[in-house]
Parts: sequence; C-alpha cells; structure tokens
Amino acid sequence: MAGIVAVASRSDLSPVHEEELARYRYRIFVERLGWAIADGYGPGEYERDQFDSAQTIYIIRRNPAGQICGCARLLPTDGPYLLKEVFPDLFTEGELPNMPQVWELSRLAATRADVIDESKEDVLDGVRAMMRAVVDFAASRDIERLVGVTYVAMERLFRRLGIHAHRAGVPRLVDGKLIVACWIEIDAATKHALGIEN
Amino acid sequence: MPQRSSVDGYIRLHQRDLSIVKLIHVCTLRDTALLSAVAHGALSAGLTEWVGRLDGCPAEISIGWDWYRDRHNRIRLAGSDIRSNLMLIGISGSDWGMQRTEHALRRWLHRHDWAQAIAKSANEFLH
Repeated sequence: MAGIVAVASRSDLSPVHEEELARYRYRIFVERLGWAIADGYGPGEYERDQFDSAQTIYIIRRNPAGQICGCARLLPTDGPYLLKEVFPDLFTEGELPNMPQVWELSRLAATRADVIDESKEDVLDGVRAMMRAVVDFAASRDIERLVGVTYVAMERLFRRLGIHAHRAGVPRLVDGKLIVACWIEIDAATKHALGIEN
Repeated sequence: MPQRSSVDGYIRLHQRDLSIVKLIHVCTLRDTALLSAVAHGALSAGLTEWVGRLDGCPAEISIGWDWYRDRHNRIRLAGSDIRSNLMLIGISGSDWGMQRTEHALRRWLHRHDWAQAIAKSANEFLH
C-alpha cells in the first residue's frame, strides 16, 4: 500500500509542515465537507481549532510525491477534547471518558495516495492505512480505546474494515448529515482487521 | 433489564430480552453514494436510524442500518452492517461479541415492519 505515515506532536511539527497539514484539513473539512472555520482561527485557507495544542498528536500520511493524503488527530481524554467540549450531547450513555487510557480520535481524513483527486474505490484503502497507523500508535501507548465524533458514513467504513467500533449514543442530524459519537476498541479484533500483530 | 457499562460504553442486554425491545423510528435519509454499493438496479438507497426502548429502563439503544428500494419497489436491508451501542449477552452472562450481536439484530429486524416507516420517509423526500 502506497504512502508514508509519520506520527508527531504539534510541537514536533515544523511551521511549514504544520501549515501544510492545516491547508490539507481546510481542503477536506472546509471545502469538501462545508465545515465553518472555528471562531478565532481565520481568515486564510487553514483549518485549526482550540484542540490543536503543543501536545496534540498527529498522524500524517503522504503519497510518494510527498503530498499529504491522510491525517488524524489524537488527544488524551484527561484533558480538553472535542466530544467533551463541543458535542457532549452526542454521548448519551454513561459518563464522558476522562482517563489516560482513552484518547479521542478526530479530524480523520484519507485521500488517494497516488493522486490527490479521490476515487471511491480507494477510500477504503486510505482509511485502512490511516486507521492502521492510528491503532499502531494507540497500542504502543497502551491506549485501550478511542472515542470520537464522526459521520455515520465513516462509522460504516470502520465496520466494513472489521474494526471493533460501536456507538456511544444516538446520532444527530447536523447540516443534513448524521454524526455520531463512536468508540473504537484497541483489541485483538481491531488489530486483526488492520493486519497488526497482537 | 439492560446493563449500562461505564467501561466500554456498551448497553448489555440478555439475548432473550431483545424480543421485548420497542423499535422507534428516528430518521431516514437518502444517500446517493450508497446506490452503487447496494443491489444492482436499486431505485434508491440510504440510511435509517432508530432507537430501541424497554419499559421502565432509561437506557436508549441506538440502531442504524442501510436500506435500498429494489426494482420491484420493495424496501430492503442493505449490506450486513447493523450499527449500534448494543452488546447481547448469553445465558452465562458473557458477551456474544460484535459479529454475533450484529447477526442477531439482523434476524430481529427481519421480524419488524421497519420498511413502512422508511417508505413513508422516503416518499416524503420526493415532495
């Protein structure tokens, strides 16, 4: 599978690479998905928010030409995180996690590794490559599960990949699309589905 | 009675109690991106969301799946994916696991007339 994956905290990213990531996120989340830029983080074609701090972990995938073709953001739940601060009502069963063994996954995106224009048959490969890197990272840190807000369409891809993903609440319609709080277990089933040795 | 888990977020339900869960329609959407992935000749496709409730229990089971309208205008369940926050447990109290729970939910859904609610919602899209 094409693509080179790197893991870095925000403080490890050079200003050039941080800007490149913010531009990629703008293209995916603002231009394609129609998200608004967070208050105080505009203008300019960059997508950032208050959860992009020095300790935030990023997983970045690049195509053979060196262009970003996937990204993910990871935050421990014992600090501020998107689900807790912005979408707590999506978490309808139990208490929001607040522990170092549970991290939030957000800003997950994948585009084709060979060219930037996405084609449907390769979306699953891109998501698989990104999730493999995310789960690899989580396992290396003894993280037990991930939680996050995602589109139901992405939840469907997780399940199609065989990832042990399940809901943390009832989905809600936002701008005509269903979003849902979702758990991802870092267990044998998820690792097996992604080809990661236990 | 279902058990809420503070550890992994699952609502755990004894498999025998699934039959008394009341299924309530939340919303149905069309998704043209699904059309090519479901059965050949499908007229429309989308996803649907429901909640399952049990009398006297505050836990809210979330269940969603994909649907399509076939060439004979019948609404059918698409794919094998049933998305939920439910984990069924067996007689011994042990988890059935994700796949076995999904299969049981699928069989359970086949005993419900959910297609009518979807048809009603889907028809409303046309107006």
